[in-house]
Amino acid sequence: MVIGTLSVESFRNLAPARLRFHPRLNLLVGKNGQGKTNVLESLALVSGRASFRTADLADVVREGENDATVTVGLAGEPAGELAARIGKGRREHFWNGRKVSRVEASRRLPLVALTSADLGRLGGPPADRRRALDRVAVAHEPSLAAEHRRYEKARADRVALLGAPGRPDRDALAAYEELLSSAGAAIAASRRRWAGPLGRRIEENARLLGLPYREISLRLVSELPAEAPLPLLADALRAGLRLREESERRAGRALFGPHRDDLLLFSGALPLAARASSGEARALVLAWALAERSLLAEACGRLPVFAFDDFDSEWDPDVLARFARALPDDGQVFLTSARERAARELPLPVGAVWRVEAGRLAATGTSPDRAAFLPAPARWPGERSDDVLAS
Amino acid sequence: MTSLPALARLVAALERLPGIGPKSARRIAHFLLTAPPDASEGLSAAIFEARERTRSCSVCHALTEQDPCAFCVDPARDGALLAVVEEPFDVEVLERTREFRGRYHVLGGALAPLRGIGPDDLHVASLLERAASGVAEVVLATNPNVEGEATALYLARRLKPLGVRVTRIAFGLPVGAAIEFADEVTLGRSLSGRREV
Repeated sequence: MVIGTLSVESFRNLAPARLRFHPRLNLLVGKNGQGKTNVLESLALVSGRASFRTADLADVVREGENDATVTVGLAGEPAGELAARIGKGRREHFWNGRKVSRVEASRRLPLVALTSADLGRLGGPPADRRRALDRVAVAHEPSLAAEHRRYEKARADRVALLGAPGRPDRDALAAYEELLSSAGAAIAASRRRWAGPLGRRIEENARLLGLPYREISLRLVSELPAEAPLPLLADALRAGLRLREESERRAGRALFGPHRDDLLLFSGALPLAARASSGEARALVLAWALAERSLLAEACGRLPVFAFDDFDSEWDPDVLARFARALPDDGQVFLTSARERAARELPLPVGAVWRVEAGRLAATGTSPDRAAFLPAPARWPGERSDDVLAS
Repeated sequence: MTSLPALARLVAALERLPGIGPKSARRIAHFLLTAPPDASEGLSAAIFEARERTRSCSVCHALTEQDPCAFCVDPARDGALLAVVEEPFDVEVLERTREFRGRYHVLGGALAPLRGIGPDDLHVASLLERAASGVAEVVLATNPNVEGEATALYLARRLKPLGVRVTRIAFGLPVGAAIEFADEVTLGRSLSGRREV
């Protein structure tokens, strides 16, 4: 499965166009502010991921328009058209014209994105690390997506109930405790299942990138029991919620549950957030993204698209060269760079180079020198005959 | 639009209706203004008449033109079996199945603390009264979202001490649909709610 074509309408500064991408590498070059990151963001959104630039989806819709649409033609298996219609506070996904869930969109087009927003993941807010682990868990166990939604809504409802004037209804509180403990236990159990495998993949990829750390593990820091079956996790959650009822009412927020979990990366007994240099910490984030890529590949049966924004600006040249060589022979990669010459010097796989200027993309020729430029096929498998290259 | 304030008010009123967006509201408003007068007059009269004649049943809170409603007075219906739904509209939906032969109880919504809706804002007290007088089973048919689930859990806690059997409607695959088109959540629920054949 690769992204064969991309069409966007009313999406940030991108000009309406139908672009035909290279099946392996697409290197987007251009000055800052021209729209390189917007292309990656459009791919992330159509794949069901959150935007890595804004929490308000309305921000991606061009001013004066109600909706933005992003449509990708997927080539290979499964071939078809995946689309997202994005408006104020909502996003709808369609597979071959049929409305589908965000989870299904992410399974049709698995994608791993690495952007400047991820650079501080090791020492930044725990929510970023939790989300990165949860993406892996949801890819393997899609019904978890509903548990996350259930948990967040029930958590907000319970806080509102505790904060309402007068004493809250005991039975109503118990109803929300029940919802929170069942959804929260499912989330907690999934994190206990997936922290280990993700840590081991990070170790493999850290080695590949030449990092000096060994015995890397991802440790879950949680107020819930470390090893416990689902019913015991639910019991512990229920008991903890009751215990903190009064303090949560005073605080006006939920003080207990898997939304407070943290994940820390260790090398043996060394906490890497504190011990790794800033360059190493960034390289570890790259190893983490590659680990996510391989675990998503196992969940979906195909390599996810890898989207790496500003890929050569913050990274050690040796790490980048190792990354370039380590890119497997299959799987599609999108890279953006504001430094075309430096990017072209890396031993990247064969692919296409696109120049991005004022929201327009123009194919400019070959990727770096490992092989000659390979044009995209005239028609992708499964593509309709009226498809045209409009860029 | 500002030069036509009456039309703007009509569009704004239509936009407040459920399921009507700005484009549909404009389309309907223009239709009503350009169609023969009896179209808009007929609509206006139908709304007025429905508002005048329809009320809430004093027993089950479903919409009715006679109080108590036809469901509550029908001797062929099983008075020991009660289905609890969120809105009057849900009664119509369940009736269309022709599967349910008990009576109904409309809550008038679901628990929603974020919007300030608690048990006292719903028809819970009358449900408990009915359940305590000759009802053997209460089927909780609230929606399968967090608000509906919380309401079902809450009602179960209030009803069980009364000695009635409390059940929840099943969730799963739509009949006639292919498994490959089911989303993962629905399919997951179908599997966890499987039964022996």
